Amino acid sequence: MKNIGKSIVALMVGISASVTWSVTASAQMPEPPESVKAQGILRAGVRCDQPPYGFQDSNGAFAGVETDMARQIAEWMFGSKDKVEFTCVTAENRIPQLTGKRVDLLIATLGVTPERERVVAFTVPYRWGASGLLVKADSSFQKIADLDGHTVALPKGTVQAKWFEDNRPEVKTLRLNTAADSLQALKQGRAEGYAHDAATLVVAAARDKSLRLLDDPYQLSDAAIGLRKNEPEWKAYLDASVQRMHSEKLFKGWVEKVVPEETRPYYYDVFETVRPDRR
Amino acid sequence: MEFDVAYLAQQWPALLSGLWMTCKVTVLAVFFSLVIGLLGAAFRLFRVPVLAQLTLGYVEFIRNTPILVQLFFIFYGLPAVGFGISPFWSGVLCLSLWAGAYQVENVRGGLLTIEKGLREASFALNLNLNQYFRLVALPLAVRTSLPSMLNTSISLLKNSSYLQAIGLAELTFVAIDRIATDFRAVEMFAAIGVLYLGLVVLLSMAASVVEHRLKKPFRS
Amino acid sequence: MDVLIENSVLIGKGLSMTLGLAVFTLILSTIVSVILGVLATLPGRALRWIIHGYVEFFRAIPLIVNIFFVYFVLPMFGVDLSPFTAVVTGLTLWGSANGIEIVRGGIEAVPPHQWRSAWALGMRRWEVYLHVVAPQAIRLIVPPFTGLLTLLVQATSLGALVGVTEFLKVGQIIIERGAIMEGVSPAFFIYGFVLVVYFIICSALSWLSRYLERRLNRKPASKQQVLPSGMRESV
Repeated sequence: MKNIGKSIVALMVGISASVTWSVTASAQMPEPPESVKAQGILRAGVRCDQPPYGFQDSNGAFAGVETDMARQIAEWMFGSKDKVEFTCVTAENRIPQLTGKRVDLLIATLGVTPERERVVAFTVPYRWGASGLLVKADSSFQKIADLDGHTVALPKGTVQAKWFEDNRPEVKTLRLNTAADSLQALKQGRAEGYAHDAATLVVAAARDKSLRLLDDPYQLSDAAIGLRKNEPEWKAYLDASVQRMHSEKLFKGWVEKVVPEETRPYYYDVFETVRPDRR
Repeated sequence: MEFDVAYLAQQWPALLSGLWMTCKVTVLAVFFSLVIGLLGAAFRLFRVPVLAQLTLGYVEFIRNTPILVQLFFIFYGLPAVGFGISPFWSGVLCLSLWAGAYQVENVRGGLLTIEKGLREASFALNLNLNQYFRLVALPLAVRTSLPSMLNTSISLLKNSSYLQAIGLAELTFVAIDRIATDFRAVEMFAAIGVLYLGLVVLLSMAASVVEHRLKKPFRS
Repeated sequence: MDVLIENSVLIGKGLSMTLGLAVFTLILSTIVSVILGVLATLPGRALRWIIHGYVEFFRAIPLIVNIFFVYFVLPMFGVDLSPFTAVVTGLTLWGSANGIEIVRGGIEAVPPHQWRSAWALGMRRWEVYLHVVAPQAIRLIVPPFTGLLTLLVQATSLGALVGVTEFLKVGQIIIERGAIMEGVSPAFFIYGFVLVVYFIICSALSWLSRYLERRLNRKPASKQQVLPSGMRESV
């Protein structure tokens, strides 16, 4: 673990004890909108290929922290964790799935960005994320800027893809479909770096000693539930749901279900503490 | 939903670079697939031991598996056994192998239409097998199988769009990538639809011109 | 091998999804192909050109663009499409474009003198189609349609790109779980396995197509090739 970017670890672990979500203790949930209630089932867009947030287990069942969030909302709305219908969404199609009314909400590693805010609405964030960059352990890169003129692999449609485009146009990006594709591209030497959500990278770096996380975190972002614009009742309900998940400390149990023990602290932090720059 | 022409104008350079990439892979892969086609057809026709059977297996395998899975296997699977190449060359390799399987059949089909008598006549004129193949059979076979060879090449052009799945910035990739960040799907699809149709129509026209030219000696 | 056994349920679900996509698409494509294919052989010139335009358009556009289009653009106009329906719709547009050519070719292969004889017997147009043309054309149509099914099975792998959990996507999910959570990448093995399974399914279907061709056309009434040119090379 020595090689993992120290500042990210510090951000994630160090401060966690002192700061927690400031939540108004309100067990009182607002009424969900009739339109959703009438369906009798919650239609949630989740990731199928983004462990530990959303993926499918060896039986094809939906698993992961974000799918558990959807199940919890279904339980609060309809009294049963089973009253939820999952749709797999990808980085490119999640927004069209939502605006096309295929799903009632997106809990799909969706980062809050100004571009997206023009098209969809977000709840209060349920998790924050730092962006990180993974390189080969034996390479000489120390800062993001060192990668100018080199290739960085990253999943399409992520906030990192946008960040590199806007902030480091000199870096060539290889945009692939999934996290595993990007990780493989780095390991196979098709790219000199792999940029993604730091929590995902921390796990990868912990598993593979030939990889190293750069000590240069960039772009902190929030992940929130996405919903269509102009649905204030629905937004109020989901905001309250996210806050209740935090106040009842539900994320911890969900993380424990899917994350191996040694990497859990990072996930506890991103779900349970306030974003470092807002502390 | 209005159609934003200004947006399209702003994205035009990106689309053009995608188009250029599409053309580059297509041209290279068409060339290599023709080489594979000629060699494979020769192996099959002359029943070269081992190579003929290998060619048959290769053709059957390519034709009975999805090109997308072939592509993923080449790009993500092969590096595990020490064979990792860039997205560009992975794309060229995948498309060449794919189209090559069809070109083998196209060329072979052409060669099969050549009458036995020609071969005997060539040998009577003291041509050896190599000369017969190069000077007599091949030129005739190419003329017969040209339409199907061009068809395969047009399919290859269309299938280059699969390469977006391995991050190669060709035309479809550019469009999907922009849609993922800007959500302007209608404009992007209109643009690439027109560009692909244009390329296919252009190629088809070129094909019919070439066909017409080659048929010249046979017209009475 | 362990990874396959461990994920056998997921793999089974993926395979049944793939077959579901293929069968659904085949049924819909067949319906559209037969209707439009028959219409294309009617005398009306305008209708024939419209159908011709449909066929040429969907055969010229890359299949992947076609599916992405259905998937991304139609919802913007209020058409509610799940990934599954989007793939079925996109594949049906493409499959029927090829199917129409097969049906039209099959009908047109029936020699004209039979039409004239039937008319001379006082049969009406629909009677000729039903009693004279259909029994002969079907023999020519069924084998290439089986071939089309092979291509449809292959084309369903595109579902992986728009989020249908079919066979290829299942392979990717397994790879993803291994690569991110366990630090091993079974990509070579899994993609190899996926290739072999597709090969077995599609070879069987190709063999069936050739078998039907021999079986149904033992007396080669017409040597005409009814498989539309370029169809075999579309996936």
